[in-house]
Amino acid sequence: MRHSFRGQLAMALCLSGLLAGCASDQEKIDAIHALNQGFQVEYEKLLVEKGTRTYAASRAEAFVAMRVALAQLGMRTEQQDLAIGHLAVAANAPLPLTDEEWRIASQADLPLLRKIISPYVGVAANFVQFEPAGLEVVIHATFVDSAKGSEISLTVRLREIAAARSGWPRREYVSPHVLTLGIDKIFTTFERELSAAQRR
Amino acid sequence: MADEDFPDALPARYRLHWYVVERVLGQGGFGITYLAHDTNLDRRVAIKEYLPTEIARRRSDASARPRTETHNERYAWGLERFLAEARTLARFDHPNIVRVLSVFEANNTAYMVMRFEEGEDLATLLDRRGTVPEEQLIACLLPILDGLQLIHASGFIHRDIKPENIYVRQDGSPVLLDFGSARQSFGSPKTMTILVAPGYAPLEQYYGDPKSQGPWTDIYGLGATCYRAIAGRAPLDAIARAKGVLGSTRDILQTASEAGKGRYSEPLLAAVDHALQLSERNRPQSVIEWRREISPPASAPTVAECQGSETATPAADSAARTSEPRDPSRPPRSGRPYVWGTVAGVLALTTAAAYLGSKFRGTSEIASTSADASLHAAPVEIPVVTRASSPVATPDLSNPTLSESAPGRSEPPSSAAAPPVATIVPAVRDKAQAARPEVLLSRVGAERPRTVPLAAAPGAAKVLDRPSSPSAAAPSTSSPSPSSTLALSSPSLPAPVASVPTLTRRPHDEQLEAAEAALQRGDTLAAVRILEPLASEGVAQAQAMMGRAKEARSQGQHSDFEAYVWYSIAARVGEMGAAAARDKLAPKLQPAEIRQAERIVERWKLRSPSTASNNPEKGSP
Repeated sequence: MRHSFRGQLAMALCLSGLLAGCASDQEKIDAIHALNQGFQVEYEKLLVEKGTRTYAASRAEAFVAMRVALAQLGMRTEQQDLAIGHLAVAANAPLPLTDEEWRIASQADLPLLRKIISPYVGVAANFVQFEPAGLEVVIHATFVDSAKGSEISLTVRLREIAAARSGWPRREYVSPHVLTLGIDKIFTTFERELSAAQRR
Repeated sequence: MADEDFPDALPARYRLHWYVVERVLGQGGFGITYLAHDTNLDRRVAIKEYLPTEIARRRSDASARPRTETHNERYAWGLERFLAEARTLARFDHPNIVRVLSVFEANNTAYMVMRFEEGEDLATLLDRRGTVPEEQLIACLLPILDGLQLIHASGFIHRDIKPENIYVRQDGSPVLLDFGSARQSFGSPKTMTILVAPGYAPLEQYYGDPKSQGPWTDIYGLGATCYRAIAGRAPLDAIARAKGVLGSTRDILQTASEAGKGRYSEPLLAAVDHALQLSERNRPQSVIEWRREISPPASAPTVAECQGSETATPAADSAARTSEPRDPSRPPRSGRPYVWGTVAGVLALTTAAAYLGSKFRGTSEIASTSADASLHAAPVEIPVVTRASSPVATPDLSNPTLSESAPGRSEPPSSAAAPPVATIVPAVRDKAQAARPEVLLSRVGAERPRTVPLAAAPGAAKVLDRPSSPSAAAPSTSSPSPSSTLALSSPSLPAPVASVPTLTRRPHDEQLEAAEAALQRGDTLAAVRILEPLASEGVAQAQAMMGRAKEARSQGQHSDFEAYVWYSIAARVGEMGAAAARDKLAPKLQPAEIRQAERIVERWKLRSPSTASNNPEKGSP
């Protein structure tokens, strides 16, 4: 179902057919740059607030529980190294959100999106949508020992599946509501898994 | 308009790429340091400009030019040294070593961009306060020792440690400054100017013989700095002390133990006296060794205590310190015996000084005036002759037999004639070891070409490149050149690869070589398997190679993050090339990812190797 949903939507994020038809390449490039920068600001702020949590668990316990939690959310492990405390997972967007969660969160971010790109693409900004097609979500989780147990930190980035067009920037930052929802969902799943593991 | 006090300086608001000059911070004989604004990153930086006013001047178009054509060669050589020093310093990423952010050439000169530190130098602080309490002194000293250990481990020595070159930040943490860009690069064609700080430079620096210098040289400078903080005055100049030894068979320097008795703990005072031994062989030979004498492991204070309170009482602080049993493996401290061992060496030194005096009237007062030299705030300049090859008679202060023969020599010991290689010179003691190619290979980071092992130390490579130049072929005929060090070496000794770091072959070198071979053939998994335990145990070279392996494995996946982490861990302990590799990767990571990585690196040092290596879940699935 997810694939058919995606199939109905045009290319990734905002640079949909409408935008393509109404703006020059340079305007679109500028818009993507602006979007990356604008979302980065929000992204960094949100990560400071929500991206790091500390749990009363050993680093190894936290590491394993997080890996299981992310797998439960459909993410595949790309890199893992308990020695340095790093786990990288990836999956096609909108994972780890469901389609519905993605849609709701994206809608909430549309005003910000349009505000950022309208100086570059004008009225076309009103017709763009966030689309997950052609994108992967990559999550880095890091684990360090702390006085209270383990400190877990998450970062999220988008990775375009298609080959890059020469001179075109790539979307990298997820929108604020998508990020918030995703982080909360991951930590909630993790906490559940950690509790279960500790009970075992 | 240029600052009236600094007529050669660039004017305020002058733009150098994306740096905008705000004002002059200071000017020395070799350049001007500016406060500038980095408009890209919106932060303040300090920019050091190479402008040796003795031989160069500013033109109306802001470019720097040698004053005359005869200065061209020396200007160019100094510029090369400036750049080499900047590139060397840029390798060190340590909170207590001045951080070089960038270096670039413009206006026919070069600029070194450094992190701007706010605070004051230790000399100013000591001028104001006279002495500092023991805990504050230790709080300043230990971080500097950390930084110095990194420098020495990387094969370099600072050679100009003194209170003026230790900056105390506003938060009280110290930072070691001024690695002496382009020092020794000026003077008349047949002389070499050595700059030494009276009171802070050990005897071996007056010889200008790089072979006799090493970590113990910096330890003397630090010991002298401590002495200044304890006694309220700099120690007597080493030459003056040597004269005193010659005349009275006892050191004329009041010991730190005497000067600080009752106000500082005995172990600290004894350690300072140990560091100030005239003969380098009687001093601690490494920072680690000296640190053991100074600081019991459990009592290290925080850096925030370094600046301390202006009203703190020294006596109260010393009571809290405890003594640590001396390492039995270390030779017993000699106390006064060095005096006798030094007498013969001083004979040789005096002969050398007399020779210099006859050769260069007016500038040869090193022996006759140096008793007062410690009163001078500014460094003294000592012209010495650059010569073609001659037999080596390196003064050995601990060997009367050798030095007794020195007075009979008609010429100064070659060590007196040998120019210092560089202000930052590799810490080499064992020349034979230094020349062993396998030792070099084992030291050289994997990213460095194995066929050109000297690339491990760019500054060194430049020195060793010199023999191929025309000036190197005739070192006595032109301006000072580091190559003359090679020409002056003794034929009876192994090749003096004076600028190459020395390390013994370590047990894990074979593993590193196997990992390198795996990397070369593209088998990164095998390389990681070999490297991982070594990296977890703290072997810096293995950590840097882990970075390479991760980077090589990336191929679209996100190993860049792990590569960044490993490079950063290696860079923390000064592994050459790791910082540059890390910085190259940085643009691929988000700022938030870099923060994540830095957090891992920050915590890494707190973890035990056994914990780190206990990693059942490793690598890609």
